[in-house]
Amino acid sequence: MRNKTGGAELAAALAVSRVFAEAASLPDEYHTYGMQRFTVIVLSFALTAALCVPVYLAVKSSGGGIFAGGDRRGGILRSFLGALFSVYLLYGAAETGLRAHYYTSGTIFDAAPSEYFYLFMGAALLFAVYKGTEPTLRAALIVAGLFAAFMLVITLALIPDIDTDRLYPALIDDPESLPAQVLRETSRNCEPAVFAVLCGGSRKPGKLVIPAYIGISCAVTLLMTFLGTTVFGELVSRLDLPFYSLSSTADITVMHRINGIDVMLWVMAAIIRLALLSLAFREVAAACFVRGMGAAAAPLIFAAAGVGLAELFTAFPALSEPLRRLSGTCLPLFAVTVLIPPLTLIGKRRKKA
Amino acid sequence: MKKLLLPVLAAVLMLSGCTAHAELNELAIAEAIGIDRGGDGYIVTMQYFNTDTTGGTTAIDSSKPNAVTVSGSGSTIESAIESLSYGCGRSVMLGSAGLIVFGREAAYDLMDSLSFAASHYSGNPRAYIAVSETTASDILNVKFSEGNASVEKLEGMMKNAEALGMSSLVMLHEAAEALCCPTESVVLPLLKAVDAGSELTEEGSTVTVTGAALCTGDRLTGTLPPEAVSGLCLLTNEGATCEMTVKLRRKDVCLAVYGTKTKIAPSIEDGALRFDIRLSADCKVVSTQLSDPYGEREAVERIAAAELDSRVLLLLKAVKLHGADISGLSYKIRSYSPELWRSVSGNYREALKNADYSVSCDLHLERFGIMHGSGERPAANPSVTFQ
Repeated sequence: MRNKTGGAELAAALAVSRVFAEAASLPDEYHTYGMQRFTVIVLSFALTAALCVPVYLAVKSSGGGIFAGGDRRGGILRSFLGALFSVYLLYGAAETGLRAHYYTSGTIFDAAPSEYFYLFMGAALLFAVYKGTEPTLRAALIVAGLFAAFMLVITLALIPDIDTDRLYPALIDDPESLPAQVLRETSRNCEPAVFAVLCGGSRKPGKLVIPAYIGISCAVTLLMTFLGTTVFGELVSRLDLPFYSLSSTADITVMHRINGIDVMLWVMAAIIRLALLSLAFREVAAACFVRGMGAAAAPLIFAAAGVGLAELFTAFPALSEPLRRLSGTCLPLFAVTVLIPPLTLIGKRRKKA
Repeated sequence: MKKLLLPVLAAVLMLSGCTAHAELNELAIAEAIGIDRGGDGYIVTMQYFNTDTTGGTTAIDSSKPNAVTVSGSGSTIESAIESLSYGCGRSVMLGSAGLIVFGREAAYDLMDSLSFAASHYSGNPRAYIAVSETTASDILNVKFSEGNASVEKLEGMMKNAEALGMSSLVMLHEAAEALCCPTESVVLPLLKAVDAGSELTEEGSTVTVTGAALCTGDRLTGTLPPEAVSGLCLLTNEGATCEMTVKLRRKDVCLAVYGTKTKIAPSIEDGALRFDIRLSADCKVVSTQLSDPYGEREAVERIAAAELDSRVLLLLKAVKLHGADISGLSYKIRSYSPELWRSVSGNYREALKNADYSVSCDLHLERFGIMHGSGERPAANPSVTFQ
């Protein structure tokens, strides 16, 4: 039976998840002023699209999902790949928690987030994981709608501040740093892995999910960069959270400034991203490691582990920095996306046998 | 699930008062902040909204002052605000601050001071920035009684000064951006507190905009005359306005200039940077002693264009003297030719000092006023009697 949830919800969820990683930037991801930033974004999304093609083909040809071939459990290769996906997803969850913590502690709380933040975020996350994939995807569509309206309001409010003199006709300012910047930007995508895992079983991968996710994410990221560049100019290089600064600068008269709404939206986006990663882990765990009640409890344990790890990363940056450097090379993303097609192929052969 | 919804909603509504929160009358909602240097640290003066003025039957109780001024000192701006908060017994809320005034001495390390306000999570990037001729506390101790907030009057004065071409209006994010550019230069409105028997305040004092201060890097380099500030407004603000009076055959013609458009073409000539600036604008006659301004349109346009020329050149003289890019020329160079920018960016300040500037203004006189002058002004005749 085909699942009720359409591709629009999945594309919206993936786009919300990706754009969150852009807005809630970490200290070493400072945006720099220059036209190269636009080039980096376009090349990064082109690379992501290239990575998504084999993933999409593999998911489409797998029928029951990339982990569905052969036995439900067993097999060294399957266990190895399951472990690899699990580690990747767990790192993604920890990084998401780290971003959410950094964003809220630098903005609305101006210090460590209060216990209410953890209570609210944890309860919403557990609720999303408990309810399952479909409600989470529908909630993501609502968040995407709110975000689209928010972007529209910010753009309209900032029109008087936009100065196109701050743009100049060049694509590359520093050729040496370009490849590293593109890889760093691409590494913010963990969505291809989520797509590969979630599009299994009854949920058929729609043809337009990947183009829509990449197109929307790229367009929003470019718009955010355009606004930051044309409103702040050289100042954008010194801003910790450029998008928060944009929403602080947007004056819409009635509400004066809308940075409070901005924080609410990003917290919701962080919950969606954590829930997607937890639900993806549920699929991996159910296919590779556990069954029954264990499979149901796995995403809850995963979510708790992800948030706990994020707090550990926050408290001890020395722990997270080597991992983030490794992630910034895109090797983990390449490993996960490149391994999906052979994994599916092996699964299909075993199924036939 | 639906059974749970009602208790959750009820809990949200009824229990939210149990969490930590601040009442309005416990907050010092900053309207304006003044930053001065004192000893080894800073003195921060703050004007905050007086919550006692919220009337019982009307929104505002005008019998009480609408703002309270307090000050605190500390080794950093943050610690000075903490001291101020302790002194006034309220939590300081900076998000609504509409004006930040720097004392003459504090303007020496403007970027450090601005970074505080810009990086503060609740800092208002749209707050206006100004410099006091003396100390910031002098400005903030002037409390205008008219209106809901004292600072509204100051903001209004500064906006009007900009419309007349007397001063440039600069927001926090614009000042911070200008200080991030290669020559770290910004022009800020210069304020002065005067005792003028004004009815705007109970004490009779008021604030005037006396011109503009040029801050370069970590120095308050000097002040710009009003004509140079007018040149800056014309050069940087698309559609800027200003008023000016020119003389044609010893007769005054007061003009309002509007709809300005600027085109700047940078180039390198004989190894030196060169800017060809073309300014076009429309204008109208506000008042004139000419009996036939329409007939003398071309002459008025020529003289007025020469006046605009001189204003822009006066500004460029300051740019050349200090090597201070106060009109965003670096962006113009970059958008015109990134290669040219790469060739001068290494030593941009010196390049500006040695640059050649050519200015040509084109003014179009659109409207000629409702009443024309009467030609020669008649001499006063005391013998005229009324019948």
